[in-house]
Amino acid sequence: MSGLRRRAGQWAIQFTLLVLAFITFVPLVTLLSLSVKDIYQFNVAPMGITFPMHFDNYALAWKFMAEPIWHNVVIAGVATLASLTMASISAFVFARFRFPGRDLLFFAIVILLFIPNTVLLVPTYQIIIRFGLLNTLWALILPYCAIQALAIVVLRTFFVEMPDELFDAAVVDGASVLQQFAHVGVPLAKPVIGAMAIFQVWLIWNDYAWPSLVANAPQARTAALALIVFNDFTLPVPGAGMAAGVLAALPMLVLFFATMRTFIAGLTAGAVKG
Amino acid sequence: MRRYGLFYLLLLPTFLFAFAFYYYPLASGIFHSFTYWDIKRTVWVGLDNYTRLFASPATLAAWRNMALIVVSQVIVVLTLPLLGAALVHHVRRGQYWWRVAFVLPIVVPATVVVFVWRWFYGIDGGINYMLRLIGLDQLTRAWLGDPATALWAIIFVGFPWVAGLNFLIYLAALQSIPEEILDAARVDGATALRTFFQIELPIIRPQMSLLVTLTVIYFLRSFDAPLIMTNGGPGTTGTLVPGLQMYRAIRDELDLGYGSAIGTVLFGVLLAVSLANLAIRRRLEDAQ
Repeated sequence: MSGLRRRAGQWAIQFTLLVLAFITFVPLVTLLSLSVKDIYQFNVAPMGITFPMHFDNYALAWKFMAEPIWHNVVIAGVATLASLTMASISAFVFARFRFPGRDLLFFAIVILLFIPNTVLLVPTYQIIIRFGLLNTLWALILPYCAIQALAIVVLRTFFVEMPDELFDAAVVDGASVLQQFAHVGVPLAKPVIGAMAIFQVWLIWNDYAWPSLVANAPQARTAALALIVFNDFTLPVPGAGMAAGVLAALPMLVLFFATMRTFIAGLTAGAVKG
Repeated sequence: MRRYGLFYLLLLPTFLFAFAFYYYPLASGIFHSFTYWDIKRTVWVGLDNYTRLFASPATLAAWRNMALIVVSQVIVVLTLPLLGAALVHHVRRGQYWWRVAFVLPIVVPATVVVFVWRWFYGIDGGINYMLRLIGLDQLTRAWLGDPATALWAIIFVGFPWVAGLNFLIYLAALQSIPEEILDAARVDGATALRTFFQIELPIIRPQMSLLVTLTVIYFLRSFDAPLIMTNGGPGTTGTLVPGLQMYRAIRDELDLGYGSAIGTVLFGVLLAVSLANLAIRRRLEDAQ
């Protein structure tokens, strides 16, 4: 009896999950199916699959999206590499050494977690204009490089918990701070650094408001921005606009499937900061 | 001192960036909220920006819209992602794949998601198409252009809201509950539903309160969806929120002082929410 009830319960769970997943994926599947429709199919049968599929939409979208996607790759790559290099060195110094003012300085970093980027929008905008960086990739790279607080806090915890014995040999050999960091700290912290890096890339890829303010010109436009501009102003075949949406999402999907475990770890750690 | 010099030197890059893009802008924003400020000049105007802000009907509308969004999203975060996580946690077959299915949509950039939903809401979009298909033509409308539906349309982006970071956090919390506790309940003959409400739910309460705080803080300041879907309309304030009001003060009017005043008010509210949250959490911990 109870076995039967349990089995019925499992069927109910599977069914509910199926319904939830179905609704969740309707918009994404619709995006995919719209991306291969010509203008007639788009207007007459927007929902559901139509034949023939017009993959040439992607050729048109690629013309407009290739450069913005490349901008994203450069911005996310440079900013993530730079910010994590600085953050992990700082975390290592905070965790492994004693010096006057250390706790106060660390507190000054923790406080950054409580300053939401939105309220910095106006003055940062002014800084970018003042230094003539408007509509350059630097307008995005430099502020993104400053996103370090979460990585410092997370990595510091990791470095603090590393047993001293691991460093003894290096210290006896007279290794400098940076050598200890590079040869003992980094190899062990790689999974954590990787998770933080992916979170950072995800964060940068998702940003819309800031790029739309400081990089809304062809030479600096990001993928998210180009998608909206392409659809609102360039007025292409509607299907190509949808194909542009797929292209904007594709690099993150590739990154996800290539690093699934690290990706999920990074999102979970990052979510706590929000 | 020389002994320590190296440590400060290694921390320097981090602090240079923190200064340039956090401490200085924060101070500058608060200071300039008392000024008329465009790119070229700064003129002290005292509380003018604030009196203008609080006297403006747009401000009231923006905060009311934002309050509705925040309350709705708090209700959402306490229900559907939790339901999804609980179901995935208890499903026996294909748990791994269900988890991947509900994580995958997070990877799609928010702008792309908003963009697709904008199409669904359009006059010739997916929702009206389906309504016509089942003969409910009288219900079709420009969902984002109609004041009666625009704000709700923005709130409904992402329905059923299961897939997301909230889901991941709930699932991680449920999975960290030790088996022994659940086994004890099962031996006592508790049903699955009772086990969930009487044992699992109380254990993950800290995660629930954390997610509520994060949701409040996130939606207090976020404005990507209104920016992309409606630019604050229909009308001047249909879906306006304070973040967007600030954004428009800079982009459309180059009124950086006014924008700073909005930013400063937002910062004050966010700080108050964070501090209140810390205080409540500490009191709860003391009570236990």
